[in-house]
Amino acid sequence: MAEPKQNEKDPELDLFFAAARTEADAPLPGALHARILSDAHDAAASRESTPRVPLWRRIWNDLGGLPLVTGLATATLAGLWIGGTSPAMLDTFWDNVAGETLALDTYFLDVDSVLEGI
Amino acid sequence: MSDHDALSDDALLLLYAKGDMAAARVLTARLAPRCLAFSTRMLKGDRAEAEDVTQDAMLRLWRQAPKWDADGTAKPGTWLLKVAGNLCIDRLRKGVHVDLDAIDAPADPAPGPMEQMAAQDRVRALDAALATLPDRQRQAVILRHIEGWSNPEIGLTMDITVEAVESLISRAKRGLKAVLAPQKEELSDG
Repeated sequence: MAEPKQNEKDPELDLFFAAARTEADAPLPGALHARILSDAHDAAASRESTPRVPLWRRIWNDLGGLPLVTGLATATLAGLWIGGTSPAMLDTFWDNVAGETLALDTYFLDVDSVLEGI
Repeated sequence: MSDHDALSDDALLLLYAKGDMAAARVLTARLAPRCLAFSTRMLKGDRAEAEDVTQDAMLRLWRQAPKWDADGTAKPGTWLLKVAGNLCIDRLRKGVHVDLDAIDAPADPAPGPMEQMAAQDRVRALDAALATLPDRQRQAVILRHIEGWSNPEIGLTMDITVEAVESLISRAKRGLKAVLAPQKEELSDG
């Protein structure tokens, strides 16, 4: 407790303040005491019943969950494909996209030849 | 005296956070009576509202327990009065009914020694005078001169500068003197 400094002393009021300080620790009413402890029980019980969420799960949720991670994976695969494709193939790809025809077999395996090989 | 009685408020709050209800009982006995006395004064003697505020402030303390920073500057007792003070101001702004006549009713009707009775008279006179002050002046002067806080602590709690705290307290004391002066002779000699 910080006692008032000498220049804060006030004889006219100090007697009143001193009396109030002495009376401040009156006992708590029984009903209020019971209500406060009941709240303490309830607060502790609700903490125990709340499941702890693992750190990886919190990070996963913070990132946005499955939709966002799926999008990230798709973008990563597309980046790898673009990075691994020769410039000549990209030129052909662009010509086909910009032109009238698009020969998909340039970029994907021929399904018939795959089936013949089985 | 149990083992818990020797522990600090911080240590008790951490024990409670781990599920120790004995710690909650000791903390309640230690902190709630002061919170109730403070809230009663802040609410101009409305005991029922003050009990609600005390319960609410204690509930917030229980909920705060798992996140409590025992190494921080805040102590549970000061934290509790800060919360209670804000709750009281909120209720006063919402226009809580305050029965100023109730302040004159003695809390304990049992007669005691003359000095004890004189002290009770002084407390009742002071509480009645405090009830006439603006809310912020009342909060500042109670925290400084009854709860014994330092001016910087009060400034942090009320979000104002130390100079503003000193100004509030100075005006509050002038207001108290104006109300108490006519009763000075009667109440000063005991």
